[in-house]
Amino acid sequence: MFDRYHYLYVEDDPLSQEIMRMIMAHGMGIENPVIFDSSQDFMKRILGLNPKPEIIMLDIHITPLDGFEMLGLLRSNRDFRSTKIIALTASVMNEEIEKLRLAGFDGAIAKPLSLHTFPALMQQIIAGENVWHVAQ
Amino acid sequence: MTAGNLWHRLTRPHPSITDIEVVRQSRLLAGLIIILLLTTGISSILLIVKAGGTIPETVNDLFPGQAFMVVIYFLNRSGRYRLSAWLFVGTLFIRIHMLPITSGDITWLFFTSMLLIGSAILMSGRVTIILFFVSLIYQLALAATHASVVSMSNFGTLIVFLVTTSLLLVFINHRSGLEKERQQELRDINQKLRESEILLEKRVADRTRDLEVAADVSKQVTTILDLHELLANLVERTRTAFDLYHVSVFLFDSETNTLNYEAGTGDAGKNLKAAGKKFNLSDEKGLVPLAARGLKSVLVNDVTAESNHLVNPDLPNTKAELVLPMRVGERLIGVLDLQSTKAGRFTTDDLKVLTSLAEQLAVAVQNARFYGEQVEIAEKLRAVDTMKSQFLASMSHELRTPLNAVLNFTEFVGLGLMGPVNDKQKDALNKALDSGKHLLALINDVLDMTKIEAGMLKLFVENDIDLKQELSTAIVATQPMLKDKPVTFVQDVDDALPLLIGDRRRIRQILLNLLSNAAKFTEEGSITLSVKKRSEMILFAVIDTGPGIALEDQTLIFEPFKQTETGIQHASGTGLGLPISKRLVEAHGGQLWVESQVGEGAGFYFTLPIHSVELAQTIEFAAGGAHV
Repeated sequence: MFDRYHYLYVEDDPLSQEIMRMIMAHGMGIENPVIFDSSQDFMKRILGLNPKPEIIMLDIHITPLDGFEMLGLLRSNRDFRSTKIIALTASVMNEEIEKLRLAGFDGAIAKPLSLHTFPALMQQIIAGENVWHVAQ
Repeated sequence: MTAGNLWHRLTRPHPSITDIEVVRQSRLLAGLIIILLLTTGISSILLIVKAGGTIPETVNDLFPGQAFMVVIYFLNRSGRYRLSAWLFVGTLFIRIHMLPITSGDITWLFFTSMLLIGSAILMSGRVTIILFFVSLIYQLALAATHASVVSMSNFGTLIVFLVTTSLLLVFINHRSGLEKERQQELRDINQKLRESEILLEKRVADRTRDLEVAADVSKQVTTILDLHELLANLVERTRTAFDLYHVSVFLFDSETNTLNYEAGTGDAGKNLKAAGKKFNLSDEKGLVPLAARGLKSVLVNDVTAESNHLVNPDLPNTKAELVLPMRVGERLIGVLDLQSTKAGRFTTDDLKVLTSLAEQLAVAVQNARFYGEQVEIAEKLRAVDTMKSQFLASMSHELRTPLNAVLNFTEFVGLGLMGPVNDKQKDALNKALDSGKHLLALINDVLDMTKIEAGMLKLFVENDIDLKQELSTAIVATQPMLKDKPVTFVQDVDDALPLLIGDRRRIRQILLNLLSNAAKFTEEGSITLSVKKRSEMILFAVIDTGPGIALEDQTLIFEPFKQTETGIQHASGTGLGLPISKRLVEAHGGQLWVESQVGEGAGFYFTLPIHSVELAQTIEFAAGGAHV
């Protein structure tokens, strides 16, 4: 079921990248998802992807473009107007979650990611739900 | 009853007579009639006795007169004083003037003078004068027509008139003198009254002006809090109110030991301020440093005679100067300098008023300085607050990111994803995982509490919270804690619960906290979770059969970073769960409380409103913002 979609994760922390790989491999059966380790040349790189990802997960605190800026670029491109774009954040501040919602993200998943909860949340997102996962 | 008393009663005037003068006259008239009746009565009796019991003709003649007097007496007593006085004086007047003709003895006329005196007392000076001229004309006529009667002695008649006239004039003069004195006295009193009234008005006006200036001082302090503006306004206000030439304020700078020209009136004020006019506190000359050094006012009502006075080219017309120290206690704040073009302008009264003005000014300056300091402090605090909030945000990020790796990799290893692990290793890894999770909970609690205390807690409000789902999540999470204990978990939840408005994660957090507390402290018995719909709210209750909470601890458990003895023994909490839960419930517009007795278990109750207007507005605001 998960393997019908293509995923992109933008994350600069190598540990988080590895955790994501493990969770996707063992919890979702997805091997080798596409991961960008910075937001450098973001649009150029994403437009070069084939196949085009249907689900994009963006780290918020990343350089040179932050999560909001990447979202803005994606939403201004017709090809990504309906792509599921999820924010991944370590923040527990509700102000930030509120900001994410207002900015136009389709959902947010709070770190730490968990092998037990992440696959279920992805399932909800694929089913078309907006997930605002701010659980501890 | 004494004779005096009887006399008093017999002469008492009618109560309708209130004028003190008329009362006296009425009393006198009554007394005169009584005396007249008594004397004529006694002499009549003597005459009758002398005549051997028969009534002589002379006595007989007296009767009508006596009877008439009695009538007048009662007329007087009945309140008709004027009429009775006229009748009395008139009757006697006519009788006396008839006597020379009937008796042929002109000496009767001698009584005219007494009658005229009586009329002056009983009636008025004008009546007396009229009667005097009537009597004069009558006597002249009598002399012309009844020469035989008057022939006795023209000399005697003259004496009668002289005596009468002089007595009369003396009396009238005396009376009018009295009257004049009395009027003068009244005029004096009136004058004094008017003077004190004017004085009072002036004092009131002065005091009002002082108060107005003083009130302005305090008003300025609370409204215009900029020191420069405050002083500029005050000097102008004082100059106008006291009609002075120049008013200025020097402020003392303790670091440089100088008195700096801070504000002054008019062009001179502008010039001096621009030129940076200042005195050194140790300057020998100059009234300003003199007053400042001594913390005492310096009054010079004629500056030409004062060696300490320095002529200021900007203020050439100064003739009198008053320099007042502005002080708070023994602390020199500055000086208030007042100058006038009139020598001798400053009175002791002015000195008093202006001294208190200088004192108030000193307090105002000090307040303004304090205010300035406080604004600075407040700005610093705001900066600290922003830093704190940024620190919190980065804390949550920086602490949780590495912990994320720790928890996940430990779990991956434990699950055998990195290769096979034996049971001993698995157990150790699970312990590491539990500790890591506990650490995460601690971090979250501390961050939550810090946010609450900083007033930065924001709810993530949703309006479709299905309580059933949140309850089951919380119950499932609590079950493992009870699996080795003889504790029954009882659910008493209403079947139909409405969707709630609120922060889903926070509501779950509250439920989890109360349930895990109950599970933690209950060794045997039961834990009951009850959720009931009550009109406008949902009432939650978590009731256990644990050790209970002593009354004195029941407020302590809601205070952050505090744990009771029992709580410390369990040592697995942060002591923050209940304080956070209470604040979270309150942030939702509900209440959280405990009911417990030692040895009888504990019941934690909380309410959440079903329709919270405030929370609903938060959502609308967020939704409205999303369209922008």
